[in-house]
Formats: sequence, structure tokens, C-alpha cells
Amino acid sequence: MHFLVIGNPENRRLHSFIVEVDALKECSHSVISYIDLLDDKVKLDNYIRPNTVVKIDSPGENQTVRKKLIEYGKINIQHINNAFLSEFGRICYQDEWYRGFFSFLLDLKDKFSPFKLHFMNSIDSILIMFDKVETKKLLNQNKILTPIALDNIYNYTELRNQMFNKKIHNVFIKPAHSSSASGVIAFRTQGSFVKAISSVELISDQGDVRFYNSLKVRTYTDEKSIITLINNFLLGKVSLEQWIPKASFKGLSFDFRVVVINGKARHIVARTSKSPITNLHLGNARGNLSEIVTHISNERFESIKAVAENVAKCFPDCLYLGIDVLISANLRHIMVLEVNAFGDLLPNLIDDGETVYEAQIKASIQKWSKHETI
Amino acid sequence: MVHDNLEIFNGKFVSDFIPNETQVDFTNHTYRLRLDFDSIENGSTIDELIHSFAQLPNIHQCQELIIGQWSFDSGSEGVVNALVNLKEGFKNLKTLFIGDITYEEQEISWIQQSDLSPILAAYPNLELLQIRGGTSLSFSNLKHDNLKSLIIQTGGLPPNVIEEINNSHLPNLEKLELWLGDENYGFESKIEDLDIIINAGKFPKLTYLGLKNSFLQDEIAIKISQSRILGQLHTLDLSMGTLTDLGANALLRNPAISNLHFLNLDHHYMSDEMMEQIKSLGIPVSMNDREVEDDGYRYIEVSE
Repeated sequence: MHFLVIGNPENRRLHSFIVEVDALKECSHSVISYIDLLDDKVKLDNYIRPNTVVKIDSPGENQTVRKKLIEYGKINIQHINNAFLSEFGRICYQDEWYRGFFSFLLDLKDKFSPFKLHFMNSIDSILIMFDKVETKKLLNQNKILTPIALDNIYNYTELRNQMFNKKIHNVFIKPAHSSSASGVIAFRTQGSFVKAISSVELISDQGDVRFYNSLKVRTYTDEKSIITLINNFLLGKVSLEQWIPKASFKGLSFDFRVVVINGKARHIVARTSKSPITNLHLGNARGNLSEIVTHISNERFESIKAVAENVAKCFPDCLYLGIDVLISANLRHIMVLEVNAFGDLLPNLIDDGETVYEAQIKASIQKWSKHETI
Repeated sequence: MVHDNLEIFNGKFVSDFIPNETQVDFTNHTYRLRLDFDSIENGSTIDELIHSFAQLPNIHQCQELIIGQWSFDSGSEGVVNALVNLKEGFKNLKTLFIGDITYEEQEISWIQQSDLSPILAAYPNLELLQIRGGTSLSFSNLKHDNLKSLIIQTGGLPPNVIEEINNSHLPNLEKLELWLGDENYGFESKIEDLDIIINAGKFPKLTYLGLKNSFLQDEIAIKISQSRILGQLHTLDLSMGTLTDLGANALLRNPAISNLHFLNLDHHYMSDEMMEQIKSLGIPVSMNDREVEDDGYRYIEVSE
């Protein structure tokens, strides 16, 4: 079996994956970089062999790729300020990036169409997962619980009004196309009190306001900054939903990242945090899963796995998914927070003797090796 | 920030009580009554929840009770009223915690308390009262003959409560733990206002004193080092605040410090040298979570 990986070759994701492929005698790999595809330098025939499985990996953590994807969108290019793009960590053009990523992946689908290939995750599903609003709709159509959504909100005043009317005091504002919690804001209010928690760093300099990703989760309590922050992100497409207090254990709140492979919940980490934003790169740690499972009960843990497996059924053309699931403070409600197309980077995590990547490769072999496709 | 709900209280496991669902076992479990996010929206009230709990046939076995999140926009008056009205059922209640609310559920400074004296009057056998949240907290009449422990956890303890403690009648109090908090979140007292608590005499049976989570932590340590109260304590808790070498050094000068069974100095700003000196006292000490100044500022652990 041959694995063709689309990714950024310098990235550790891609490296770890191909090491695992090469460890198996019956498998080979080739890599196509996003840069080469974006520069139209690739002749696909050279990379495709009989029985090829395609893994489309993350384009992230590469500034040049990001810039080229934004340009690929071909809309309002004259409005794109290259200086913003080259500034490290600056949050900008998230919707433009998605527009480019969307057309890029659709074109890639066309380029692949003459070949008989297996896709670990289909391009169509990847595009849905990179739109949190669409993903939530799909989950809700399939009766999967997610935090209640607030719709049609384009500024802070509308947000406050809708929160007031719905008696919702805590919300999450998530840019629809962001990853790694970029631009995510947890906002809460009670009476005249307001508070926003976010990894976004707001820098205000003589009327010039800029937003950066940072590794520190910040708390904003002055309403002026909060209005600036929230209004900026409400300009783009956002998924706005109720912030559900998560269950806690030993002083930290937690949720779960569940990797479902071939329909089965496999690798699971409990993400523990002192803040409502639990992403592991923000100083949060993997919790002791067995202790947490004991704390919530095995039965509830099985329900969490079942919910994740139901999510996977909504994406039947995906071999693997990284699904974030919460259990509410009093352990009564299990809800899906996010579905991640590239949520499989969980180094050193073993389930049933396999790392995530090993499990993906074995599952591909099991699923597709019997068919000869060319 | 308070991140955790209680898991064990009075040596028993804490479970949320869910009407018509929970198999109640008062021997091994302590029950918490709280509203989840959805019950708050769909109009359920803490009053209903307390009443359905009080209707359990074996409610008289209930010795501990925890009240968690009760609402977002009302104070604890409703909780107080319900507990006062239902005092016959809870006649064996010894331990009560009002406000087991985590940071994810609500900011500590946003928790709205109320006058809790009616609870003290209605429950003469109460031994432990724990409160979280200082906003609107008061004790119009702080008198109780049997109360052994009073724990008030706040991000800013309002001045009226300190005054009420100074004028209280709690002859059997053994443990007093006050999270004093930050001046931006309601703490407005001066260090002198703590004199009555710190100077021996007010609470003759007091053996556990926690004056903590304070930006005046050094001043408090200095006052305590100058008081005879150290002679009667087995536990001194000055954790969660802004303690530096200044306050710690003062403590070292009072020989009675060596009589403590436990000294809690977690969340502090002491130097390595000072931590060594504290260790060399030879008494059980905790000095976890050493903080570093942030641009010249020192922060307490829980404020907003």
C-alpha cells in the first residue's frame, strides 16, 4: 500500500507519520508539499501508484503557505496587506484564508479525479470541518448535542441583547475557520460586570489596533477593550455558542479530545486547564485519564466515546477525526465542542499498542488493501 | 479563581443530588444541590431543589449539605429562606457550605451572598459553616454557641463582615479561615481592623487561624508575630497571598512559631534563603506555588 501525504514537509506531523509508514514492509510513501501544489509544480502521476491512500495533512505553521492560500482565494487581493501576513502571530484574514483553502482543495479534488485513490479523509469533509458553523449544523441535524448557538450577531450590542433575552450569561466566540483556539474568546457577563478570556493579545497603539495569537491566556475586564476585541472578531464569520461550565477534577476543569479511527473511539486525552480554553498548546496539560474516568464513572466515559463515534458517522468518508467533547459540571450533559480534521497530532499516545498514526495506517490497510484500484 | 468543586467533604464523597434519580446514602455521601446551566434557563429554581431534597423520607439523617450554583442573577436570600423554613427536616445538620461554585460556573466576585444570620439562628447545632463569595455578604447577628468552624472564601471580604466578626459571639470557635481578597473586589479594611482577630482573647478555643489570600499578607504576618495568639494555634494559614521575606522573617522572630503543627505558606513570594530558614524550623510547612513579581506587581491567588 502506498501513502501519499499532502502537507508541509518540515512539519513534525508529516515526519512522524511517514516514519510509521516506512516501518511497515508492505508500505511506501511519497510527499507533496503545499508549496509545490500552490506553485503548480506538481505532476501527480509521479506520486501515485497502485493502491494509493491520500492523507491530506494540516497546512498550518507555515507562513508562506498561509500567504499563498490567502492569495489563492483571488478575492480583494489588493486589500491584503503583506506586512500583516509576515508579522509573527498576527491574526488577520481568517475568512480570506478559508476562501483560498476552499478553492485550493476543490481544485485539488479535480486534479485527483482522473485517478483511483482512497482518501483517508475526503476533501468535502475537511472543508466542512474547517467551518465551525457548518459542522455544528451537521451535528445538530444528526441529533448530536452541542452548546446552544446564538445566530445573527454582528456586533457587541447585539450580542449583549441576545444574551440578555436568552438568559445566557456565558458564551464562546469562535472564528468559524480558525484552528488552535486562534481568535477564540470566552465572554461572560452578569449585571454590569463583563469579562473576556482569550489567547488573543490586543495591542492598541494610537488608534491602531492589532490582534495577535499568544501562548498566554489573558483576561480582559475593561469593557472598552472587550468591545474592541469582540467587534473585531464579529466582523468575520463566527460560531457563537453558550459556554457550558465543564466538569472539574483536582482543581482543573477538563474536556476530552477523542480520536475516532475507522468508526471507533481510540486515542483519548483529557485536556485539563485553569482556563475555559483547554487547547494543549496554551500551557494546558494532559490529565490523568484513568483518574478522571474513575471520577466521572466508566459509564459516562463510555457515553462520551459513543457520542464521538456518532459524530464520526456524520462524516462517513473520513477515516479519522479529532473530536472535542465536554461533560458539564454536574456530569449530566455530554456535548460536542469541535470536530477537527487535523486533530490527530497526539504524540506518544498509545491505544491498544498503537500510536495515532500507526492506528490510522493499520486501519487503512485493513480497509483498503484487499482492493486493487488501478 | 476557584477551579474545583468539592469531591470530599467531612470525609464523605460529594455527589450532586438529582431528584427522582439519586439513590441517597447519607452514611457515605454528602449531597450538593445546584442548578446546571440548563436548569437555570428552563426556569428550575434552587428552592424547588432544596424542597425536593428535604422531602426525602430519611432527611433527618442528613448531617452535611452543600449548596452550589443557585442562579446568575439573584442573591443567596432564597437559599437562606428555604433552609430556615425547612429546619425541622434538617435538624441534624452539622455542616453547611453555601457557594460551592467554581470559576467556570461563576466568578467568585459575581456570587451574590446575603445576610446569613438567620441560618445561625435556625441551626443551633451547626458546627461548620463555609461560605464562598463576599459580595453582599453580611451577618446581622453573628452569634452561635456551638459553631466550631467558620470559613469565608472571597476575592474581597467586605468591611462589614470583618466588623461583624470583631463583634461576634462564637465561644466555641476552633477554626477561622478568611480569604481577605483584593481591594478592587471589595476588601476595604485596614490592617488595624484585624487586630481583634489577631490579638489573643477574642476566640479562646481557636487553634486554626487562616488569614489568607491577602495583599496585606506581610502586614498580617508581622501582626501575628507580635501577638500571643501563636501560643494557642496548631495551624497558621497565610497562604494564597503576597507574603514575602518581610512577613516570613517576622514570623521567624517569634519562638512560638515552632509550636505549630502546620504552617501553610502556599502561593508566596519568598526567596530561596527564606524558604530554607522556614524549613529549618522543623515543623510541617507547605510552601508550594512560589510566584514571581509581574512588572513589580504581586498578585493574590483569588480575586476576580
